[in-house]
Amino acid sequence: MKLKDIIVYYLLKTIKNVGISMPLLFRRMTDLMSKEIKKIEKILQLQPFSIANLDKLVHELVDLFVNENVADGINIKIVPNEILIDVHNCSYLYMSEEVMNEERKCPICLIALVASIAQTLVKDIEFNTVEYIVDTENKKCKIKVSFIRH
Amino acid sequence: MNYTQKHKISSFREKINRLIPIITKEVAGFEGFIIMRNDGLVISHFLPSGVDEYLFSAIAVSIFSLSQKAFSELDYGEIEYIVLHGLKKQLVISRVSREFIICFLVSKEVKLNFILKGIFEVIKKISELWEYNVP
Repeated sequence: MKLKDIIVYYLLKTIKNVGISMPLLFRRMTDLMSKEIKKIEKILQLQPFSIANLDKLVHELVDLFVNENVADGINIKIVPNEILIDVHNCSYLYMSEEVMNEERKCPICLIALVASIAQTLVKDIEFNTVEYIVDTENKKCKIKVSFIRH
Repeated sequence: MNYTQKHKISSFREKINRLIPIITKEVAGFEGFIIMRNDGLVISHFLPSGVDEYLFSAIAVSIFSLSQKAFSELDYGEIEYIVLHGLKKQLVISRVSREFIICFLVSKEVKLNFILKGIFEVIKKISELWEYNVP
């Protein structure tokens, strides 16, 4: 763990500490980042994302994490109204470790965040909720990002 | 927040939208409203054009949750509603249920007790809609 990781954790903890909930922060980040997706593409020098196809888009966004070695393995499954993601050995797992966090749950899951951004970018779909189970012992996370179809 | 009832959101949204003509008449000095889940998900709104409903929702929920945090620190219990009295307009942010928050935009001229009477009526109707909402 590095100092920057501890600072990110305490930044999120402070936001929560003053009364802003993490689900609210998560939704706001999703909205802001999806509105500025062109800017993000430009900064990261990426090809335009496939915003017409949810399946393709989720894979493109999650692949960014894979390429940056954020996790050892990320499996995605899209079922009606939900994106199911299994993550192995996420490098942000420290946020859930007991030594760091008495709640033993990441304040915000960054992999879930890209799934919710994908849902926001695709027409006629709206991000609904995110749920995740973290198993720090086996370094596995199960993420469920649900959406509403219009 | 009870996420197990997430399947009900779409039908709840449709029912609230049908209630908008009643909401606009029920609250004295009514100029707009937005109802959202406490994670900021916009359920329905009637806001002035040009207002970003997603941003406004997040701000209203933040005001409510920061105020609730202040109350909790003082052991004052739960907040029912918040009134922001400005030089030009008023905002009333109220809890609808454990899951939903509503914010009304009202003119400055109307007395608060008249505004609240209408708001409580609207909240009662919305709570019933959610309670008996079957998708």
